[in-house]
Amino acid sequence: MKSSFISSFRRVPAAFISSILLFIVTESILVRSEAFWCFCRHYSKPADDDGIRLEYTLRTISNKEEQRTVFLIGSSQVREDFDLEYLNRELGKENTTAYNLGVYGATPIEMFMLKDDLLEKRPDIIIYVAFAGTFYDDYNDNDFRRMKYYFNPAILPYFSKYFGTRVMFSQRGALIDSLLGGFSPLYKYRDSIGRSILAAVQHHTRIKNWTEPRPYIYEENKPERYFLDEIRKANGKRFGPRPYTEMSRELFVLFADDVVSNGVKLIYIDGPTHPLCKKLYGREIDTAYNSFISDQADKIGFVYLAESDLPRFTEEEFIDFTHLNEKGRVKFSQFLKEQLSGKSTRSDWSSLPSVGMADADDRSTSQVSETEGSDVDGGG
Amino acid sequence: MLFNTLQFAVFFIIVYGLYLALKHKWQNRMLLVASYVFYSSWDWRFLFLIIVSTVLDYVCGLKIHGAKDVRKKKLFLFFSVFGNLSILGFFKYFNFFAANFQRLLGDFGLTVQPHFLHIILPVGISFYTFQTMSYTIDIYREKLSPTRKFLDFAVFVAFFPQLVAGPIERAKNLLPQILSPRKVTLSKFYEGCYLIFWGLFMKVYIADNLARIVDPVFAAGPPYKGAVVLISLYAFAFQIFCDFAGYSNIARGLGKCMGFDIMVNFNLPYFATNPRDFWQRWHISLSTWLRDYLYIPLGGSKRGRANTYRNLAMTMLLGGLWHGAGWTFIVWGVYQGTLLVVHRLLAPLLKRIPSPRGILAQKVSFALRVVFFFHLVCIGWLFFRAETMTQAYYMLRSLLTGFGSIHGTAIQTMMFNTVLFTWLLMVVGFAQFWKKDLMVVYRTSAATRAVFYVICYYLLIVFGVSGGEEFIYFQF
Repeated sequence: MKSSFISSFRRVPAAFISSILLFIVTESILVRSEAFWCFCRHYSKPADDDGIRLEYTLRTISNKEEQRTVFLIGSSQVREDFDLEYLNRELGKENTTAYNLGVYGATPIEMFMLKDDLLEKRPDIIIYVAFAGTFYDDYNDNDFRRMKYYFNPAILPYFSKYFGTRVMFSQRGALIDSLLGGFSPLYKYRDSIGRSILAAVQHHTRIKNWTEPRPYIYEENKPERYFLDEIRKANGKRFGPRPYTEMSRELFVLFADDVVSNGVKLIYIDGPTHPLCKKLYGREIDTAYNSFISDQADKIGFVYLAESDLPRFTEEEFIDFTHLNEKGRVKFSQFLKEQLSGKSTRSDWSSLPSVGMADADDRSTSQVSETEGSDVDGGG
Repeated sequence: MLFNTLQFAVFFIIVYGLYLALKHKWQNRMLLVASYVFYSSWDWRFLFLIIVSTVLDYVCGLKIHGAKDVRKKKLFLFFSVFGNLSILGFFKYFNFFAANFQRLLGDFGLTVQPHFLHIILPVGISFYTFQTMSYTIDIYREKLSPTRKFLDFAVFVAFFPQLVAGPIERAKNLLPQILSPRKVTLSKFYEGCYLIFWGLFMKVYIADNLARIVDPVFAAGPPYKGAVVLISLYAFAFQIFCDFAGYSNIARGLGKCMGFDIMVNFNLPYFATNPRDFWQRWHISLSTWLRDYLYIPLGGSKRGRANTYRNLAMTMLLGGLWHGAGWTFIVWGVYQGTLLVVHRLLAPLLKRIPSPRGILAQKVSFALRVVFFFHLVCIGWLFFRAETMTQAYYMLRSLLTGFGSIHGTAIQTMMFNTVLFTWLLMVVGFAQFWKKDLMVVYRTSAATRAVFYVICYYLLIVFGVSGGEEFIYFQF
């Protein structure tokens, strides 16, 4: 006897359908609520929760006409290497607000995926900080797992082209996670939201006090032994041409081209690296990398501040190979502030359409309040 | 292929689609293929064992039934039981006995180098061997007639919803359902979906999160803080319940969707007030199997008190051994047996204690007994979960002599997290107990259920563990 229930579908699962609708409605209300994102941001930590911190920052960026906005984008190098409070205090005098959008492990893949979200906010300047390793490293399982925070389906053809279907199949869990996250922000950021809820309840029940952490997670300089061990382990091959390198180059070009075409001033800065960092990989990597970025800067029309354009950073100013400590952060932030305040000696600054703060005629006399800058401190 | 994975979801959708499209005979054949595919996803090499067990008991069942001579019946029963226990014994206990034999001889000054085999424990072996043995034993007892339909019998042995972690079904319950056409009704489908959902919730939200509280405690070495051990035992008590009952719920739900009624395996075990009550609520399929095929054949409670106590102790000792080849499981079994014996001894005395007067007093008395007995069960779980007897000893000692303070962030965080991941289970459990209905949530109004589901969705999305963690009872 054939089962017959399909033809007698009289009872509608009202509870189930209602629950789905109720969930969709309540989730929509929740994710549109500023209070919800403020709550998650307040109880989040840098690095682990970079995704949700970035989401919060993007949601709170105001597109006021009289304000100039500067986006600092890149990996944890960006998150750690800039003192946003200082920058906004100084830039605020020139009616400018900077937003630190550095997120852990970000590569040109993530920047490509975030491109539309960034351009939607109509920044005046995007400052992209990276180094050779950004283009010459593997895209591993952790990177795939983190991808859900920034996922854009436009990346899929590039994954298919450069990684192949076998890798995509092996990473199907991460890809499905990312696709589901596109439908539900709650699902996308569930790890961070869960941690925030736990932290909040523990704080309010006095189990564990919560103090909002500093925007930087790296506090103590690594000992000398760490550098020597890493150099020995790397054996000159820590970074090198990978299957991912060509993809990252193509995506970077697409990203830069789109940004510049949209009238945004793009400044690419070589992130400061520890003097010993060069021992991790061959010189030819640096040569290829510099040559690539320079070529693209000329072709696309963005500013490239190479390592030689930066102030000299000493060993004492680094936590590890790629992240600055407090001392280095102050130096780098001052350097950036000077560049953005028109103290740059570079000829290509004035040739760009939106020179921004360097143009004295555009300088507004109204002051941007300090609280506005510090509302979006170094998270993300 | 774990129930809590996308892979299984895809597998079941395909199987279910085919199931609905096929007629009865082909449904069973398809179920057999699906069950073998399901089992092969663990390790295809062990399909051979299930097939051997299936053929053995199919043939023995027919021979037992067909034999006129009692000796011949016993002979084939012996083949069945010996064959199944040999398979189980070899794969599960060979290395354990070899190691202990070596240790024992070592205590007498004899050095022996036994040959240890790199044996992989086939998933679900303890479950399906017991299931097939019950078939031949029931035929021997003339409680059941054998089936001549080999393929249908093979479905009974390998039925994928309950193959790897039970419930251990009896042939007289499941086999007729396989042999007869089944009716899949909408209400059964909805009930099945509810059971699957609740089972997944128990596993993904409750059990897997509690595991994150329990595992670090048991992974660490001594010294232990008694308060930490106690909270981890509470957490483990609910972890193992939700893990195992969750699996059973999913198994029952999958069966229900296909028109099968699989037995209830858990009936609010932590509301038990004594060990006898506990074993009528916990892992019911195993406890009834042990009662019917071990305890009663040993004499049960019919040959005097001393024999009763002996039979209880032996049954629970073997019950402990069934769980795993380890001294901690044996001690756990002995402990459970001891509880049963002590309860029997004290039962006449306890009956003389007058019941409290007044409804409130009775409820308070009941609650206190439940809490007291729950703690006795938790002590048993200490042995069950401990990695070694040494660890169990140190942990037990810490409970008695090194309890320490319950203040401190780490302990309070553990307590908080345990409550966070069990509160909804408590609410549902109390509702089930109050209404004496395990499906009480399913039978509430649509509005209440909708709110319940939404709460579950939020908890699952935010806190659900998505790693596809294995079920605890797979190791048995």
